[in-house]
Amino acid sequence: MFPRSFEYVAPASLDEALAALADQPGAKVLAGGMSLIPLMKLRLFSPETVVDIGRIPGLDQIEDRGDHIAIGALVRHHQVAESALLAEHARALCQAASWTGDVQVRNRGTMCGSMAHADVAADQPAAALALGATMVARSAGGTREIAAGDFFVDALTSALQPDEILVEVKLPKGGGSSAYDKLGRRGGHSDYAVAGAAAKVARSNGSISDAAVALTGVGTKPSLAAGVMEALVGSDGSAEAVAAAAERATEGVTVLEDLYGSVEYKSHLAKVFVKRAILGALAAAS
Amino acid sequence: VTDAYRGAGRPEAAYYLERAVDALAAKLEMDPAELRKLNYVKPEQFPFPTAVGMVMDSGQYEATLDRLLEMADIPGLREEQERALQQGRHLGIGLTTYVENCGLAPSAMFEGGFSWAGLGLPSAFNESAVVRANPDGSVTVVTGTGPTGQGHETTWAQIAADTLGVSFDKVEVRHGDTNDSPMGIGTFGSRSAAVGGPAVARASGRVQEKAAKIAAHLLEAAAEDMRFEDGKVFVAGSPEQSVSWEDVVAAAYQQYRLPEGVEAGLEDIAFFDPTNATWPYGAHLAVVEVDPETGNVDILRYLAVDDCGVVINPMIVEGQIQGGIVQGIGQAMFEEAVYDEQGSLLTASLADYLLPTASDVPSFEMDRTVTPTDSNPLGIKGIGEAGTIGSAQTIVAAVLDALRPMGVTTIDMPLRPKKVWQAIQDAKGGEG
Repeated sequence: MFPRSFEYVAPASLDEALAALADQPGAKVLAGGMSLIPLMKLRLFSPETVVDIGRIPGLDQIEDRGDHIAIGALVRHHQVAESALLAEHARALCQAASWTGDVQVRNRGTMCGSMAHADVAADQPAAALALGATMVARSAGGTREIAAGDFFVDALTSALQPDEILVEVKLPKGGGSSAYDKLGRRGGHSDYAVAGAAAKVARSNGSISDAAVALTGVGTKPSLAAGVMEALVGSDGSAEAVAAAAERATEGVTVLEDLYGSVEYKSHLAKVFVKRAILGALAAAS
Repeated sequence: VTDAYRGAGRPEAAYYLERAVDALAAKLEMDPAELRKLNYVKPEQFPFPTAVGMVMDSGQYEATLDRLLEMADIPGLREEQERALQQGRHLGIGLTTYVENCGLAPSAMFEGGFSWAGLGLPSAFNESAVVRANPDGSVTVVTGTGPTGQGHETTWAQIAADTLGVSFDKVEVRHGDTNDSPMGIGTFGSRSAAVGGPAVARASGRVQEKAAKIAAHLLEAAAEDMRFEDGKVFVAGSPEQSVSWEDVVAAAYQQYRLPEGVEAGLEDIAFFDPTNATWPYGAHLAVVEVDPETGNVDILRYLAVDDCGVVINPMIVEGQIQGGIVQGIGQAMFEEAVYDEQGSLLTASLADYLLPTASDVPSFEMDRTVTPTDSNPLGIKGIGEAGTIGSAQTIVAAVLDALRPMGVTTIDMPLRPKKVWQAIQDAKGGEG
């Protein structure tokens, strides 16, 4: 299908882009277009104006800033998947990016776009949650930081305001090792997650000192699995302890049935992938 | 599967037949390959009249299956499966074979029933081709078949180039313009090579026959001694007595250079209506791994040995088989038209109506046997749909083999992970 007609602007600077968003309340940001364009073509979403940030210089960098890594608004999935810096400090995000879409999507789609789109079955939001990411939103009025845990509000809804651009995602360095795993709709890691989980764990003196675990695909939004984290911290990190913690995967989550699984199946998968993500993170640490 | 497509009718027939044969093999505790061999029509029984009145053309089913068994090393695979099971990994091996019917003919069979009958035109199933040697020596083939990516531009050019002894790139194949094309029925039912291909060969042969008369006149030799190779026409046994293809064609357009009784021009049209349909066949094998915790199916290996008679272009034939197998994998594992209670289609776009992509399938291990048909002078059968006809039941058989130790005895397509997982849960429930 064709989208409804819309105005198109391609600002040369971030300030111009922010001004365009401030001037036109019906405007939407376009980066890679891998989520926005299909929505527009299906007419599920019809913005009056599309603000294409693709020509703005300086947004396509993965930067090492000492205690954290910043991923700019135009960093593509494949850059994330292949970054040695991220592989060392945010492995779960690299894995999630490497299993997002197909080669074409990974070459065009952006990591920040995946966050802003907030699909219930996307890979990278779960990794961002487990890794304790901070979202940096900027508008003509200023800049604010939003914790990943506060960023994903509902299906296809983030905490971003209409006049804001997600200019970068900040990931803390250190603090443990991480992993992401999922079952894709077309099996294996192929396609959106039927269910997926990301985990970041730290060990000290033979026990788990810190843990963050997040789910995707099962509920109305990517979310932290608080029950699992509570059970895991202080445990010995054995296979039994991990399996027991994983049993609490869907506590506080409203699991939704879809074409790819019943509530029972998706609840089961949530436990399986929470377990696999935690074991993967622990294996990566040793 | 949503509706009839590639293979229309034969994938369904092959699927149920092969599942039934596998069920019988399990019941009899027989090797599935041996059971099939016992029931095969033997090579010496062809032409083989079937119970429904058709007469099957040719086949060496056992030889084709044996080639697959040789490539697969089933005892080795069974050992690997056993070792994997000891490590808690569930591998499955599925082997099935198929025979299909394509290149439908003779036309009389369809009197009043098919093609243009609804338009008040004569019902027909024959195909046609015009072959024209142009004054500059290039060759134009105009086909009545309607390719949509099957590669007729390549294969028809090969047939004409081989017959006329000219280089392949001198031949241009045109199609699809109804002002220009001779009457044809179209491309469907794996029929183009078996029905349209011989029309190209026949028209090329007629052009060659006339060119031989002209060359013989130029060389002062006998027409039946003319040979066509490497862009030259020469006398059999004395290749130094030759004339270039271009010169023969040039003479064809100069009446004063032609022998008495030969009219200028070098082109002809041919129609072809086969005496019988063709029956391609093959044997396929898949090795899968099922993750019992998630129901995920991973296709580790896929082997196919197909026999479509004489092959014109091996790369195109392999491409057709590979594409067909991928489509069959889609049927076996993903494709499903799901409606909600109000009758709305929930799988209305390719985002939800899942199809396999290159990353979802392994590299195929392929070979072929060649058993010509006498339904057409080229010995060609047809290959456009074989991959789809042979593959869905192969995947399902392999998944069932992997699930057998968990007590699952039957499962239906599509094998989405949720269904495989549910089958495992149900079998566990049955035990408890």
